[in-house]
Amino acid sequence: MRLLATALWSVFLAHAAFAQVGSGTITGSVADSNRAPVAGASIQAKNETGSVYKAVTNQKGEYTLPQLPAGKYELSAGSFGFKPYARKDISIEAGQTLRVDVPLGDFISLDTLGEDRAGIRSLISTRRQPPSGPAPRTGDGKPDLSGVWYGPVPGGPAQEEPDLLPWAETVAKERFDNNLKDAPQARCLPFNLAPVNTFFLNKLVQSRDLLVTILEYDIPGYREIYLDGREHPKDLDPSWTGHSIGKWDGDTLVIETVGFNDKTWLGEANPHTDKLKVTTRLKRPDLGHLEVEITFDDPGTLKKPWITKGIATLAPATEEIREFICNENNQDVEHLVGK
Amino acid sequence: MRIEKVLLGISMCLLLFVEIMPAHHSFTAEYDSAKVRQFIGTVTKIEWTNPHARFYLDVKDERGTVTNWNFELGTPLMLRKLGWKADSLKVGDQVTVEGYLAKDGAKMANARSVTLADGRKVFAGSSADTTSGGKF
Repeated sequence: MRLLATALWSVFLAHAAFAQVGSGTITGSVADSNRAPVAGASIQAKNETGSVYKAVTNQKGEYTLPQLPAGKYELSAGSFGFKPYARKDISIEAGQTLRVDVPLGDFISLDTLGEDRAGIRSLISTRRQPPSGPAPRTGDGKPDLSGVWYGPVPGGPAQEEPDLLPWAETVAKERFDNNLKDAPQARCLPFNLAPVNTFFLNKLVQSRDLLVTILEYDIPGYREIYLDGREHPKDLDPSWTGHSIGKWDGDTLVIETVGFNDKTWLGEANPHTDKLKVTTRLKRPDLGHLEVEITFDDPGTLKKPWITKGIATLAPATEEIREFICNENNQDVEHLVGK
Repeated sequence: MRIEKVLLGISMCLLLFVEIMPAHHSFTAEYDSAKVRQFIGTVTKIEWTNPHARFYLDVKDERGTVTNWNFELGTPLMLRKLGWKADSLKVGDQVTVEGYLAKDGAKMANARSVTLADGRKVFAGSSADTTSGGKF
């Protein structure tokens, strides 16, 4: 017992010595383009061995990443509504405290009243906790996905960016350089490639042969997914929302959507071709949660399929989907000048 | 401690979430984040419409010339979720508005704060808590 205590103490001392001698600190602050501090921003430092250290900024926008083993790091930062920040080749030596202040550039319209960061944060944080209990099943024993769902907020480990072919990378860069002025949704054209949308409400209505998803924020605000065993038509005309069929793989509904035109954008700014296939896997592990995994496969644009994951939560049945008639008063188009 | 954990949770979610969050249009394609101006005037019209709610303001300059400015808000989908309604701002209200000017020189701005004569902030973060002024 005494031997064990001595051994443990030695390990502790060695660790403490390593922490003091072999490690350094990155500290700094995160500010927006108006030089106002950004609270709640995520900071991540990743070293050459793949170790990841995380922090979140306080109300003054300050962060500290202590006890980083000496080495080279890539520092990345992000917060909702800002352009992601990344800086490579930051060297930390033992005992060093390095200051790295992070400027976050504005990206989308999240200072606009009603779509401002504070509002969106408060909406997410005040969402009703989903109910607990087993997932309901239909009369024929399949999971019943019906319900009003708060759009998925991705969970789990950090998701990879799409791995683009060179031509697609060039197009995406041009679009970013132009501040996304030509985005289809700015012209009130459809923008969801999957049959559910993020953040906003989705109402799923399931019968044996058909699943209808009603999307609060898209044009049009619905998708039809055939569950009756039919295949995709062989002579599909390319369309904005494609053709969707769904099949059960155990308790997971696997929805395959093909037949897209190439006019929508994939993710924020990436192009895609009419070879795009979107596979949406929906699984309701319990009453209050819907796991959503979306795979974008397009050999014309992507080096490998791009996968995103998220979890939708069940909203109170009193949540109703309201209309989004985007073309009612779209004054923006003629004023989108880009740079 | 708990609040920090919640913040971290939200923050990490949002870091991922931003990649696929659709906005109607890119802010920087239309407005200049470096050109913020304060306007004081009288509300002449409110449009509770998609993709953006809008209101119009008669603003008098130092020479007495009146110009009607067009202010962009978020979609009513979001404004309603935050507790605001079409009559939260009324024609005739005297308001002070801070907004980002349109890049193309049009008499348009993106509203980032709207304050009534009595000091109440309209359309801020939520109608229940107007202290944030839409910022954090």
